[in-house]
Amino acid sequence: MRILIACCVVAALAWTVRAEDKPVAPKKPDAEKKAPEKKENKGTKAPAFTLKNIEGKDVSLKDFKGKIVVIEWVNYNCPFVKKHYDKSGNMPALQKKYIGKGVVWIGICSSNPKHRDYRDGKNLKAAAKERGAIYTALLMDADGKIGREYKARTTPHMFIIDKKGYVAYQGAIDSVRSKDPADVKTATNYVSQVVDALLAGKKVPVAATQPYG
Amino acid sequence: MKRFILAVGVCAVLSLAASAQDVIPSEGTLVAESKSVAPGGTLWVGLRITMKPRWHVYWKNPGDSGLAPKLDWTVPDGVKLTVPAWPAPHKLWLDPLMMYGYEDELLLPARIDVPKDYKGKTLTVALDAKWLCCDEICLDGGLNAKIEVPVRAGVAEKDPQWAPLFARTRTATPQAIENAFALAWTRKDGALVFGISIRTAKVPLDKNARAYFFSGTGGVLDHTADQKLTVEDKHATLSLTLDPATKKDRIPRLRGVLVVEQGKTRRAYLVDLPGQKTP
Repeated sequence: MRILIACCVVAALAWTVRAEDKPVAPKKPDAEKKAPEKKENKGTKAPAFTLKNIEGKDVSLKDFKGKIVVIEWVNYNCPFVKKHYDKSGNMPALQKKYIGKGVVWIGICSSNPKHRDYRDGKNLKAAAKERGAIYTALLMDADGKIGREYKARTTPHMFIIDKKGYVAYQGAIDSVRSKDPADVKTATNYVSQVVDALLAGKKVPVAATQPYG
Repeated sequence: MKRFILAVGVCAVLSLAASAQDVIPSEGTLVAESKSVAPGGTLWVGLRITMKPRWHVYWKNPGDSGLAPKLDWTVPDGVKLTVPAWPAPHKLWLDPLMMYGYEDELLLPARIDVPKDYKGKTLTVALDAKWLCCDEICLDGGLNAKIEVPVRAGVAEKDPQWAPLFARTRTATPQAIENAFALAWTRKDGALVFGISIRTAKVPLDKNARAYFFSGTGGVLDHTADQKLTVEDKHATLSLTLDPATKKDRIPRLRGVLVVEQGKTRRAYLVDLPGQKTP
């Protein structure tokens, strides 16, 4: 079987093995270490992480304990990400709206430093600013470890974590799998649906969709 | 042993000059199988995409990442155009993702039927097509073209430049076949185990065959899962795995393409099996 490289792929961005790397045993999800779950299915506990932000400072998921957290896997060069940024302003509008309501919005870039489109912290910060992107934190996952733990597949790939630290939603940003910014207006925005439900204390209408990117 | 590739998947569009580096990885042409068509006759046309080595374009269901080509055909009023199933795709694997698509050369054909009373001396066929072509970055490809095909009575001469490509594409086009497939499922220790049961009287294959089912829609099956082929006397079973995000209490409609490889041959079949509750 040939191995090829794919488009807008998060996981692949850093899943390279250099000769000197030692294989790393996959981390067990936190859920296995917790006390027994209640009978109802709460879903998966969001994997913990500590990553450096664009200023080089450590940021951990646990810093935001008790808050609703949106994680946006991002790569500004990807046409599917551009659809929601440069061409429609969709993502910055969502970021502004929900950060304004006390939601934590984290951007994670899993770009591999060897790739020609890799951006270092300074470059990533400028790219975000240029596009009007607003984040509680914009983090760099250069070795792809966190991308792998979350099974983040594409850019964009959205994860929404509830106040108790469980993944309430993971998948596509909206319902129309395309690169066309005109589709943003007519698509169902899953992020809005899920975050609005969490903010209102209501049942989340959709738990997972196939991400596109 | 797995090979790992250093470069990784990122997307850039052609207009982003900083990273595109003037790469044009794919080219599209509008081609016709024959040099003319008769009134009342049939003409095959197609979008031919050629790709540089290590670049690919996607199938209808691109798999875990990517976007399928979009084609908009225009033919004169009264002229009928039908599009057959796309040629069977190939697996494009990048751990841990699976994509479905094509490399090197692809023809996406369309069949044109000209009415007996067609009055014009030529037939204009137009195509507006867009696709995504990727290796470690993704670039937009597109074609906006038209051809004028002479309309005249008599046997139409095949174009030797393109006829072989059309022939190869026909071989690669999935065929409809009746009474060949059924859903097979059971519960093992409470877990749902299911797959496609294949009648070997209709789809010949032996223990050396390889088979794979390409789901026509994403979000149904796990594209990365192994599909194990078990060959018995009158049936073979190909095991499938649900997409982790789907409900586990029912099998969704399985609509797609089953590919069977035996020796050097590769055959493709259309599959459409209704969904099933699994109490």
